[in-house]
Amino acid sequence: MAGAAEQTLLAAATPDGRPNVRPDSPFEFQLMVHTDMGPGGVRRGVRFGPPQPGAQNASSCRAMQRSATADLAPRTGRSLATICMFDNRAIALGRSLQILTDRIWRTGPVASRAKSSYPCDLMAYPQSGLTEDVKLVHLAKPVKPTTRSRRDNLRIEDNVMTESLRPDLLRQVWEYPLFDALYGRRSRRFGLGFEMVEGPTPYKSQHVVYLIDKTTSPALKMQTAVTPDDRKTVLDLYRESRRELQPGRLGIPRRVPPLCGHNLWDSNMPGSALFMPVCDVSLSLIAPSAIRGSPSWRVPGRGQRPHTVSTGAPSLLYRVHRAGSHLPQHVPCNGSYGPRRLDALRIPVAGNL
Amino acid sequence: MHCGFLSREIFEVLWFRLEAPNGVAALAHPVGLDGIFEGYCPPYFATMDAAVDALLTPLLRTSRPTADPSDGKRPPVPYLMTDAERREGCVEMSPEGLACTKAVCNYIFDTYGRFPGAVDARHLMWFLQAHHLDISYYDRILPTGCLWTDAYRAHEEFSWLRVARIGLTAPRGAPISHLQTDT
Repeated sequence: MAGAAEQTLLAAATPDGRPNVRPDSPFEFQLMVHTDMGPGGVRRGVRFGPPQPGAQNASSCRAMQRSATADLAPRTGRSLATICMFDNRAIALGRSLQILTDRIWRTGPVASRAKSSYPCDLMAYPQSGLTEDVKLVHLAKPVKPTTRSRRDNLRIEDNVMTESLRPDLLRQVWEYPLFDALYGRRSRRFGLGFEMVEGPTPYKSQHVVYLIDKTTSPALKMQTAVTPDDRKTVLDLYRESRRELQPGRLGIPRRVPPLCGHNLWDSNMPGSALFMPVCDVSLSLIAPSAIRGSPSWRVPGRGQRPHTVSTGAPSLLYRVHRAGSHLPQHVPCNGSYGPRRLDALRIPVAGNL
Repeated sequence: MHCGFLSREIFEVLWFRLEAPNGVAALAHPVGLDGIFEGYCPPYFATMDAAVDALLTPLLRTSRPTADPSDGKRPPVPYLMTDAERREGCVEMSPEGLACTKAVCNYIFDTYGRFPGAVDARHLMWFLQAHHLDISYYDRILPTGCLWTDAYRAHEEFSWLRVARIGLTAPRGAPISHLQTDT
């Protein structure tokens, strides 16, 4: 759907105009932003895929395909808002991919940025990204491989990905089921090449550090973690544990506070189900105190040096004494902003525990 | 995801108990829901010592079985190792730790008249809300097919039947309005 006016903003645009081709790069990846300005509208989209400039079937994400082929309405404020939404999605997706791949090389032919071809009314919306194409340029800068560890036996180059990014990888990430993500969570996310030296499950990986799995998608394997029978059990457990506190809809005052102004229009409205997780802070404070005061507790990451009650208790009590004249650490206290914020929240300016 | 950054009024409508330390109403904080979700602090416990005991005594190694059940039924923990092996590697909850915790908690309660001293005993900040989407809204402001996934498609028939049944329809291009109903 990209027409003759398509502009490749990031694929090859280097500050000095030279193509930044890395034939020796471990893998190749390309981020392209296309715009197509017609007489009555704006067509815009982002395409991810292997470095094949001009290839129309390289899109690897369904949503990106749609945005790439979206023929928006005439340039009204409404359509511009839509464009902003697309741009935010593109930026967020780009950042995710940057994390995923750790490096994004700019490849392909030289292309001009041609700011002059942007419609005038788009210039009034800097958040759209259309007027500041440099906002996305940082995604195209090559990132040096980092070890992320000081282990002596780290051989990071052994398993560096040598193939191009699979076109369907992004689709798999995008369509990964929510419940698989929920029930696939583990408190210990043990990585290839890692070593856990403390706790009840010490383990040393038999692998070297791995940047990207080049052949298989772990997501597909994780789908077997929860069987359909398990799902039914979870649902039954939820229904058995559910207790009705009050009949009817909760009468939350529809004002600010307690609600935020931008949620007044839809929060807790008829037809909605509202989930409100309540944390037990008293429990959360008591349990760590007991752990730190126990003889067997050791400072995480510092080997076998114990913190027994003889040193832990005075430390805790000292913090309590200090707390009387200090704000909680998480509260910003620059100038008078902190105390006023506390006063607004009706939280006593007292403790530090 | 919605935000209720000042949640005391929400706790009130939830019928949570609010305790005002030293009679200062402005410092009242939710401590629990009677009989259902009670905090580890007064008034649900006479003293902080009792609250600490209630929470931590079951975690003492002496309070737990020292061997796996003889009938072969494993405890509901997701480990291949035995429960005894797992507990051996965990931090031991000791009587010294209990005493230290009681000293700290009593100091906080005696000094500030409440526990915890600086934050509420119950914390509620973020809401998660689920509701059926009105696809016609997106059809009016977005190109056809945008923001359209299999999940939306699965609900499309249901949504339109629901809207048609209660008589709330809007022609394409009409001003955007929030159509709310509760069936």
